[in-house]
Amino acid sequence: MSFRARLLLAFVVVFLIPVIVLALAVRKEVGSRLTAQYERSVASLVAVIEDDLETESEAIAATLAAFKQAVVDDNRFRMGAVDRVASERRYLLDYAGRAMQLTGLSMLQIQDESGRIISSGHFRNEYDRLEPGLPELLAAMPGGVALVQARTPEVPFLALARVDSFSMAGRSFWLVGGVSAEQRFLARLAREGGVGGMGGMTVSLIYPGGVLTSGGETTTGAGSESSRSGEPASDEASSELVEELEVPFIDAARGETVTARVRVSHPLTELHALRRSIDIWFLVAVATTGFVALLLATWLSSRISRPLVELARKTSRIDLDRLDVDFRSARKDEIGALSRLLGAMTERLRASAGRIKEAERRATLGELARQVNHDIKNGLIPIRNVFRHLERMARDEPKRLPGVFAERRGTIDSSIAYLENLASNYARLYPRIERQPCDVNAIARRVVTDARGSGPASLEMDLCEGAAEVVSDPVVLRRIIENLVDNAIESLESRPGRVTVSTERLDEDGERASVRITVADTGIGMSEEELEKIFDDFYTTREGGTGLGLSIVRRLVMDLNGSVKVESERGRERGRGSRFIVELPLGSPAPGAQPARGDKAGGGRA
Amino acid sequence: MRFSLLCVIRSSAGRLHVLAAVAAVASLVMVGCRPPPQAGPGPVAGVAEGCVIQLPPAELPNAVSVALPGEIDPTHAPQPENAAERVVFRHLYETLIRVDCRDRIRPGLAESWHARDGGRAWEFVLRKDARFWDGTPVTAAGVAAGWQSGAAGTRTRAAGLDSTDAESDRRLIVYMGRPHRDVPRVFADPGLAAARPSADSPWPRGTGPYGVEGYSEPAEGGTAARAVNVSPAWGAEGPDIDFRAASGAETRDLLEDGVDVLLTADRAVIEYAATRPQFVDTALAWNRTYVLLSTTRVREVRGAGTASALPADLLDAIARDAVSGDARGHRPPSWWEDLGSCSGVARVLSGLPPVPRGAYRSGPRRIVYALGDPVARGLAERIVALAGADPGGSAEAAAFAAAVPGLLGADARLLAQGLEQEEFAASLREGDDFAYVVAVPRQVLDPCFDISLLVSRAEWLAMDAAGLASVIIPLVDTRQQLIARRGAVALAVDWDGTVLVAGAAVREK
Repeated sequence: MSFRARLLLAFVVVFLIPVIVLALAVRKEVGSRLTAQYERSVASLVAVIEDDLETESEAIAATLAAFKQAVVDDNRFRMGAVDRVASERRYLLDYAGRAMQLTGLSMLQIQDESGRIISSGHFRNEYDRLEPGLPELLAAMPGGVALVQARTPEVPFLALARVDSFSMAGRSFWLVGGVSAEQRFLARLAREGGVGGMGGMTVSLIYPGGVLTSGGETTTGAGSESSRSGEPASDEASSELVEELEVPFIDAARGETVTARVRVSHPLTELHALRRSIDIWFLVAVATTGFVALLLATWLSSRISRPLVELARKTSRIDLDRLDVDFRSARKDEIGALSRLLGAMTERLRASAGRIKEAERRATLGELARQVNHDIKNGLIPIRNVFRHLERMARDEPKRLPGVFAERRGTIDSSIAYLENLASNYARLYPRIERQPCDVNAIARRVVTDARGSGPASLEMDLCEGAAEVVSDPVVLRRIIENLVDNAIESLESRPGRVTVSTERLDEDGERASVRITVADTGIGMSEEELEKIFDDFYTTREGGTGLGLSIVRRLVMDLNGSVKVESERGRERGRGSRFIVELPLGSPAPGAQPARGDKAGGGRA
Repeated sequence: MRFSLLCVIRSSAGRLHVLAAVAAVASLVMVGCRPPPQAGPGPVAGVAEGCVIQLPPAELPNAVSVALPGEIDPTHAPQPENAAERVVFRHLYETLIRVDCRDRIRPGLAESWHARDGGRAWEFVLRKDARFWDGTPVTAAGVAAGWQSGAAGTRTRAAGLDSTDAESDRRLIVYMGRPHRDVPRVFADPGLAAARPSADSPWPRGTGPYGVEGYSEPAEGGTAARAVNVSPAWGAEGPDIDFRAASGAETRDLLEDGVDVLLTADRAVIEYAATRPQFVDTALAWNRTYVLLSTTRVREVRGAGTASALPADLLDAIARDAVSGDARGHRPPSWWEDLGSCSGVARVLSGLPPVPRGAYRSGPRRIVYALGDPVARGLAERIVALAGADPGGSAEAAAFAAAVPGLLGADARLLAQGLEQEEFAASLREGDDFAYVVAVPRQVLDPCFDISLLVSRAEWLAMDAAGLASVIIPLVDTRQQLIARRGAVALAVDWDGTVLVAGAAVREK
């Protein structure tokens, strides 16, 4: 895993973990607080419902008591119910219906002592039906109240009912009355419970025939549904908070009493929605944090790794032929120190490389000496033989000497030519560097003067004051500057432009003083790829170029224990161009750059 | 014997005695003797003797106010669908012939008629002065064209009319599906009255003695009017008549507000009117019979099973206790028990009769009735109540259980359900429900015609005459009471007990 990847990972982890922990904590805290609040609301509503049922029961009882008195006082009822006067039968049958409208009850039926319905308000034509079980079971209820299922011609309904009785002419009659416990009743209970508390609660009535809810949903056959009673229950997966209240339910058809349940439920949809919202925002926060962390980590890792990558790139370029890599850095941190260490190491490598080259040169010179000896001998042997022949002829046959001389003169000439040629060839093998203090400014000035007038280029100089002496062969130094100036002029491609040669003293702290020679042009500049190869042998971008000018410059600078670099920017606009910067040490020559005595044996100056 | 019209004057003083007399006369009618109506007022110009309920006042009023038990929907015209429309439309539209309260054929739009081709075709000659309300002459082709449209088309098919031929403007030939010795009474059916659509009014133009002068705007989304003002039409004379719908407590208020005639079945209103000396109360003929059409009974009869009838005392008890209005247990004979000569039934039976789906439906079962019919509702609710009773302890429940297969013992709940008119008609047509409480006429012009109409409303009933007679379970007969201000206006009744303001009968010669 790369350093950058590790850095990214570390950043993301460091940022995300606190966010996740915070979100989970908020989620848990909000959930627990809301749940507790819901539980309190549900418990309150259950208490309210209990009170309401009690109040309703008392109101029904009071209504039945008042109605009972009215019935007892009604002569037409007496005639119809007791005396069975035919003309009053219709009055009797309609009696409960009219009374129900006046009393506001939803269910009202009058039954005789045998349980026969003699008048029914909620099902007028149900007269004469025998139903003795209902009043008896109601009378046996603690509190006298229970839920019953009242029949109608259409859909039966649940009623909270009570029973009362009265006597008339020695006969007993039952009064069974009640109020509807249907959806509106439940909705009212839910609404009353919701006042001052939290809305959204649902009151359901679960009875053997089905389930009624305050929201209007009705299902049948769900009465056997298991439920938790008495304690609120909720969990992460459940959709509501539930508490129940038991109410007796009379199943008149079966003649038994069972338990119905009033269930108060608070939907947890709001809580779930809140959790979902938190989750969504949490994901948004994580994504945002991750993105920001990623950006930050990318930026930081780039800041950290870029100089390292740059160092690695520079380091990869180092070899014995390229020890002029610039490791100088203005950074004050570890990377700056590392860069300077690498620079020092390169400096030492450069010195070592000089010594190695010197050793190589010396070894090469020994071999060369043997080769020269051999070659010279090869050249001298014919001459010696000719002279021995002439000597013998002068001694033995002097008359023939001119003739022989004329005959053998060609041999001598050819041997001499061979030797001259041999000398020329060896002289071209390596320039001899004769190191001496040279004024860079003087040489630069001469080069520029000689180059002026050679084209449309404008040559300018910006030379430092005073002398800037380096230890070098003036020919080498001139060749370096000449090659750079020629290269600069050629980069203008025969168009008007400016070539500037400048010198500058560098007195770096703790470093050896040096002189910087800068040759800048306003040419087309170079691409990154061209910059990578510009000092390579035989690399050229110009037609007809040898590709040796800059590689010779670099080699000569290296021999002088200096460095050369190029700064360039390719652009469509002229004027940016390239800047070749050569730095040569001032004063005494570097240890590895001592002029070798054998240099003179190489013959000739380049 | 097809008619049992009975008109009795019932004064507030001797109501019970008169009712007893009515019962005696009714029994005579049922055994086939046709006694004249009870002694009524003297003759009224243009009205058949014995059909007058109230004599005209010494001075004819300019206008008469008539309150009716329902709204009047012009889109139904000329075929009435309730008691109120029967009265109003009878004043507005005219049939080729008329049948009076004594079962005599009288000229209507046609002044004469005679048989052709041995009774297979009948030629009607229209009245010379027959005109629509706007004065447009009535033509034979116009009458025939009116029979081709909508509901009239259904009725002409049920009546056995094959085709028509307008030989001239006044001469209409009607070809029948079977020969008739006498002129077919179906030509007196209100549904075959002459009517012409009007471009500027929802009321089709008629040829009756009255024309529509104005009417109240229908309620939003509805078409029925609560009030219709009619005035004598082209060539007719008589007072203007303001018909208005009356219901509930408002009905009694109308008596105080100067209404001249009130038609009602509300016992409370009748009792209240009896306390007002300026009103006279007349019980009209039993003109409706409520029947139970059970899909399971049809299934049983088709399967060669038998289904028993309901005892008369049980029906009387139901009529007395369970039904609002003036009702009694149904009294035979019933016109659907005399269908032997009906070729029309055979025509209905062509093809396989549809299966009544209600007999095989699972889940809650319904006994349905038309909303707004309190009699039908009371009957349906009583049957539902009996279905929940113990048949061992209730003779009524046991009798119904024997008459209506599957009424008891099924797990599925039985309930009574009122349906809107269209919904009710759709369910009845398909036999989608367990049973139907339906009102049919007590008197009919032609049993074959009316049984065909009933089968066209409930196609699943289609079977032979004997089967039809056994699947229709009669429950109760009902009638209206006529409360009229003494001496305010002359009143008469038509063949089916429909009340006519005397001016409406001026053309009866």
